[in-house]
Amino acid sequence: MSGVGAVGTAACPKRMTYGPCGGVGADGGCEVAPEPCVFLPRPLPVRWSGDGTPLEEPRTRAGREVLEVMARRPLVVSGFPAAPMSRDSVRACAEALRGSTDCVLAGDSGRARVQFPPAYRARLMAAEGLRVWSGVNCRDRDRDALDRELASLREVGVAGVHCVTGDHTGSGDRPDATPVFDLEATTLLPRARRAGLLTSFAESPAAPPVRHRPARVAEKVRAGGRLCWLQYCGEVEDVEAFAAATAAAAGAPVPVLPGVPLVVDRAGALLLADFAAAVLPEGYVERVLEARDPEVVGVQVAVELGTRLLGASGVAGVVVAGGAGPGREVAFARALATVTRELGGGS
Amino acid sequence: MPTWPLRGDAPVEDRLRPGSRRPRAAALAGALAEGRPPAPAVLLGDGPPPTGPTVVLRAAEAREAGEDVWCRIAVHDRNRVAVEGDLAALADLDVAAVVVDADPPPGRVLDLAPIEVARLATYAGLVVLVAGPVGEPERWRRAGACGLLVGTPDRPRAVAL
Repeated sequence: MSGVGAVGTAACPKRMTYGPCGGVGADGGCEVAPEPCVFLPRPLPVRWSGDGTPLEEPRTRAGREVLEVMARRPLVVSGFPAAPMSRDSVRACAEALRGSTDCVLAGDSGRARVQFPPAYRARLMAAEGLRVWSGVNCRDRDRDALDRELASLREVGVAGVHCVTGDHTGSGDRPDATPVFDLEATTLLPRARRAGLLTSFAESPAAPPVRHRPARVAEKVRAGGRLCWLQYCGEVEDVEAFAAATAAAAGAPVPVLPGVPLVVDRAGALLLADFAAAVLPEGYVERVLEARDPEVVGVQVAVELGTRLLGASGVAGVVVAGGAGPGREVAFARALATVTRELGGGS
Repeated sequence: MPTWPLRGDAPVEDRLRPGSRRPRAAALAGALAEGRPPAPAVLLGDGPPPTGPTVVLRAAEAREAGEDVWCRIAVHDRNRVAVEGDLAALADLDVAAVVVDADPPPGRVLDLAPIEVARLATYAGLVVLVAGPVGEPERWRRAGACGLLVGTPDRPRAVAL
């Protein structure tokens, strides 16, 4: 049994219709409210109830280039660790990553309360020769402001846009800000497509209700999602199983890009520990932190995991990301570049 | 008339990085302080949705073309985190001024009172011009506002507050 769009949603703190989000705790708890996720007792998945308006193919050159890369080999995406609101840091990190990755994800930062707005940051990055994949959340802007950002991202010529609902302001370091959530990832996706942008969305295979997650991916694809970027969800076999279940739910393979965490120091490991529903391969972080040279071993284990994931069934690419201690942004960008180059990015 | 959820005069030091005035903003502030006419500038705002670009992108393009820019900052469709990001970008671009509407249009998001936006913008190193009914000028001055927006959208002018 499944639900049909626009089930009662008043109780979701993020005003979601197409939940549950990826922030559901292992015990079924809401990421914000001290109670269970309101979607868990409901019929799932919530079916996409869009109006069937045709969706656009990507109209940016970078978006078409990404599709061309994906037609011949897996896509290798890198995170972008630049310090927030720093043009100089953008420039330095771009220089470290240029030519080593197929595109660079500029998403929310685990350490930055405020960032430059998406289109402006993308413009700075594109000016440095990067192919940009821009993260856009629904936490900070309503639909009008989001539409403007999408139009601006297209004007900047980004490769794609990663549409996320976003963490609630009550669960991070923005407690004084109003959580907007006029839209959510599923309703942002078709708007991004109609703006002529290639789209991606996130899914957390390890977050409850685990058995409904593949069908939720299928609904996001129906809404306009093209690429599914996975939260860290365990071993390579777990990724393969999720990709297969997703293809079955959608009736066709969905391009799945699992995450490859790059950990080079304790600060980065702590950052990773904050991610909701993230499950890492057994002993992954311990192997890095116990090494004599964590940076060298961190790169090594990321390359090993990335290589295995790229050979896995149903995997269309990887997203290599993570963080390091403050002031180490450029060094971390260089480490990212080493990993993505080894995995074939930028070729 | 929207009811703005005023949040008092809480310090903002933990929100935005403090910025010193960059050349264009400093020139405008100097002109206003000395009663001289400011350099001509274009007045920009957000484009209409769904296809209009953001004011920040428009400002980036105008600055690249060498123009002096004044930007009308929107607060009715985004929360304070987004506003702070916009202000940081506009400061980075060395826009000469941001224009804060004293009586902004109603919207879905009522997160920041106009006077708080003025305070945040000043903190970021921007020159603030107020548009619309000022009411108590001293309150705006305390928030850092320097001038009033007058003239027309095509030929904006500023006078000292």
